[in-house]
Amino acid sequence: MKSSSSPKQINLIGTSIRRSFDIEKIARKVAPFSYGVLIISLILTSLTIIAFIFLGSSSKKNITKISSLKEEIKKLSMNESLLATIDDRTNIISSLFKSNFLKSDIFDDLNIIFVPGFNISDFSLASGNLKVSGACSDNQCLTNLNERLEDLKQGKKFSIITLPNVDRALNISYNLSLEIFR
Amino acid sequence: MKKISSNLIINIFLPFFSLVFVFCIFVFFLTPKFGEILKVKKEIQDQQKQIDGLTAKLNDLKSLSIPELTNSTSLLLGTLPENKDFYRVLSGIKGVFSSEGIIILSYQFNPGLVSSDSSKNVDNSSGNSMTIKVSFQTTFDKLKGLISKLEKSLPIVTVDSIKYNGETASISGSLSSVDIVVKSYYSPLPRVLGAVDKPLPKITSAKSDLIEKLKLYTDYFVTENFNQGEVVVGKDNPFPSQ
Repeated sequence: MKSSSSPKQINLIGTSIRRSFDIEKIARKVAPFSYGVLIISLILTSLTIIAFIFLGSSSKKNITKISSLKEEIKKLSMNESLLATIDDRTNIISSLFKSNFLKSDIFDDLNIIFVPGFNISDFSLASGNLKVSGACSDNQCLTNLNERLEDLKQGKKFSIITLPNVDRALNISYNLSLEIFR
Repeated sequence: MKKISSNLIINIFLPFFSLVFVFCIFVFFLTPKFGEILKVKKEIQDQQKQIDGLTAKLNDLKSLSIPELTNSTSLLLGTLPENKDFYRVLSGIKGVFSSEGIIILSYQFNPGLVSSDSSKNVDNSSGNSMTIKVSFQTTFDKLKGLISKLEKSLPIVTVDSIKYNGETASISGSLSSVDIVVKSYYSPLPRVLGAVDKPLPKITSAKSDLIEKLKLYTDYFVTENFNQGEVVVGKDNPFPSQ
């Protein structure tokens, strides 16, 4: 007659000892890993220390180099001050030249309007705007002047050219005032 | 039992303590040191940049030609003086008029503050100006030459306004009275050069062209020779010793 159940196994080792064997079994598996981690971390630590020492010495070297370069630059401060003066003066002078056009150029424009028979009685120039008063001897002079003013306007140097007043005097000449705005 | 204890030490306590040790190393040493290393690395990068900048600046400074710089500086200081020197300006203007053979009838100018209370120049990046009004008589032809010369004289002046009163003056007319207002400029020098690691100002081609252009300008300044005869100070001794 076969029994339906398997024969019972009786473990004679005590439960506590069995547990310690289990722990030891796990520990044996974990131990190489932990030693591996320890070795890696020691390598990392030593690499960190080496890197720190190396970087620290590089930084010190750089600081020394910077201070020596600064000293050398200070020795040449005269050159730098001359250069700074040149830079400062040229900046101011070029801005002055930009904001002030050459007034002698105005005379070239005045020459354009000097047609035969036209006499300038006076002119004034302020803020780049030119005011001219004069007299034209005859009708032809007035026509020529008008043509020259058209040419001047075409040059786009002046924005507005006006003849606010033209009157004819008894001596047959035309008195006129002219305004030219930049 | 002893065998179990040594096994325990090798297999349990040592790995456990090594893991604790690794943990401590990570928390208390490696993590802060990594941060510090990154910081030092950044510092080194910044220092390297600074070294590059300073080396470039030093090389630039060494490559500069001192005589050329000195000449340009004196030319530019003659063009735009650092102080309000009204005598020099007036003498220059007078020189221009003399060269054109025009006699100044009158001049009017207001030098204003010659020195401030604090004895310090007021810094103005666009330059300070001083206005001079000059009255004279000339022909229209000569007026053009005069204005042209004035605008190309040192120290620089700009013609602010021209008032020409010629009753019947034509292009080749007779003498007419003229009033011109000229502006003379000055500007204090920069007081400080700035930080050592500040890059050098660049003299661009436009600035070099300006210097070349200014070399063509004329300085009409003439030092006046005053007749310095014997100067008698005080009176003769009214009580001569007998």
